[in-house]
Amino acid sequence: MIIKKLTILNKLGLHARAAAKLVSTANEFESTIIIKKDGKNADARSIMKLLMLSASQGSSISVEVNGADQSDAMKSIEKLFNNKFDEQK
Amino acid sequence: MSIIITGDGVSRGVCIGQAIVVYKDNIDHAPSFISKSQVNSESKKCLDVINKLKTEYKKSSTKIKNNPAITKLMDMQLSFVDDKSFRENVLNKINNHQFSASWAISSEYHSMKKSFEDIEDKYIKERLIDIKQMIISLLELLQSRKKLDIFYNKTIENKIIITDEITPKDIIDIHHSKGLGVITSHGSRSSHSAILSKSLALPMLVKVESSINIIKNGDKLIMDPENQIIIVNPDEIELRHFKRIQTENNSLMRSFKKITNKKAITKDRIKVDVMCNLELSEEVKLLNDSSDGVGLFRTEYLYMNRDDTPTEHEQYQAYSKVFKKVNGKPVTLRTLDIGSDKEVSENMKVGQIAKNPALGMRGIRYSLYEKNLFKIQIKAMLRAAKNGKLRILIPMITTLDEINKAKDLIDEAKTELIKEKKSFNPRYEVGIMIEVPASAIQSNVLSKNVDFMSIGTNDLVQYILAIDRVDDEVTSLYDPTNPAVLQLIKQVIGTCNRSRIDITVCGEMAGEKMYTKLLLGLGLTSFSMHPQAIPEIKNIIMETNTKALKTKINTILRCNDYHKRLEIIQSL
Repeated sequence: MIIKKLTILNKLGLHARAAAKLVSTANEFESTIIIKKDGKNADARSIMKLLMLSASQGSSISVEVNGADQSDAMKSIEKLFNNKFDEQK
Repeated sequence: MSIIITGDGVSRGVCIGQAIVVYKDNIDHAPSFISKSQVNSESKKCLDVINKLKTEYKKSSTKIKNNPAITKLMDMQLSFVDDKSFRENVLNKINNHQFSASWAISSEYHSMKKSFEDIEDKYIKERLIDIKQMIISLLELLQSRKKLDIFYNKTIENKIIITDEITPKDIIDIHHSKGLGVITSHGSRSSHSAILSKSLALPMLVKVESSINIIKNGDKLIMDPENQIIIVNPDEIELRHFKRIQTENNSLMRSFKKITNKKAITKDRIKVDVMCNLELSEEVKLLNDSSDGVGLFRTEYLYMNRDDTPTEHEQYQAYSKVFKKVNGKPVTLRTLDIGSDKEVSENMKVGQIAKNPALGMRGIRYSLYEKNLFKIQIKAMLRAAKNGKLRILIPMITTLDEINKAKDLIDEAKTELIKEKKSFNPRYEVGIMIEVPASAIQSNVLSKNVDFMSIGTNDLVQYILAIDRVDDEVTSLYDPTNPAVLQLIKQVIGTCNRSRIDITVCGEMAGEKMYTKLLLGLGLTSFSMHPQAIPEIKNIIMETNTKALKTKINTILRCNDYHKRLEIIQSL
């Protein structure tokens, strides 16, 4: 299992469109991916759970990836977060 | 202590009764469980509706490919339906707790709703609306009967219904279920639901915005639409007062009944036709000798709330009922007009009708597109009128070309009837609705090609002023006395009177007492209105001397001050 702390950089936070992107990224891998924030857990494959985390800009979250392709999965997720979910140029 | 709230009164009549609060988008399902043996089929049923909704969303998303903003929204909706944890939680409730599918879905929604309530981010919080929409769709798919049936229900008998919005179908259901009255938080006085509530004499108040917060299930209510008030939990004095008004109204209605059988002739000896508007063939029960015929039978209701379209035979039976009841008086049947707030099955909708139906494929435009539907309707009309006076009224006419095309189709329908050896009446009149400003302006040209005209004031006003009458934000700007409107109505009436063809006003204005003298002054001699209004309007007509109106009418036509204009109209 890999655990990493990431910060939400995009302006709107983990809103619906960003969450939808995270879901589709998570679906490319086999590993289980859990996003944690303030004691709340969300399966990265569930847009509703991700929204319920209510993660705004600047909030820090931790990502737990566990499975055969865990390192690739973590790389993709990290890239998505650092690219601000491709929404700001 | 009693509370008084206000709204827009629609149909009159004081009513006193208990409130029943019915919100259509209510997702509160009563808990319901299934037996162990049903678990497998129930979870399959649940997965089926989720997949079905997914397919529906995908379909509509590909349909509107060229609009990226909407596609994105639809994709979002799709990811909600596709949500893994939602599906797991719901299935868990079914498999391990033996919840019924609809109870599992609605209870999952409620736990999600709770989590969303704690969210501060407004944008994220708003997504709950999308989720709710999806839940409603899922629940609808689960039930073979749609949510629309909630008003066809014994529990609303003798109750005053409190709800958010109401459709024409709901009004019919409430009428059948013997509801006392209706109070809605949204809506408009000129919507089709409002028109229907008038003709069914169902007291109604709309735009009672505070009703949601104030009125609770079981509250005792007094509603007085004419004075635009609702009293919640009235005290003894208030109750006594309104009970007295109720009795007075009843005796007033009885005295009106005495004049209903007299002919409507003005003081200066002008005979005025007073006809009635019908929505449903069942309404013919309300018909009596008081009217000079049917000035408008809206046929849309035959097409509503169903997946197929009515057959020639079914329509023939409905129209025959009307012809039988009127004893040889003229019957004006309007061909199909899918208007803005009428519910027609999905498969009949063409183009963007869901978005802005008022400017879309409605009335004659739709009929010329779906020629067969039009011909079936014409055939039913011609057959039903075998021994009657039929006037075929065509809605939404804009150009002469449309009139000619419609007449060609009527001829085709006749040829088909002859071939099929069905008997029908070869004598009938063809007329048009004047509701598009273009046809009002061109009435001189069009009048040479039709047998009669009928002004639909509701739509005409909506189109002249560019006011959507069901849009809460602008409905207060809807003003049938606007000089532009009155001048155009005067012009059309004048044209028809000169060319000696019948001209009737069949919109809301015709049945509202404050406009009766105004319309008489503009030269109108034929009114068509909901049956309930006939005695009162006849009474006014019989008291009017049209010659004496001339000067004031000219002042009104030139008066650009709304309040002054209203003052003069009331003083007529």
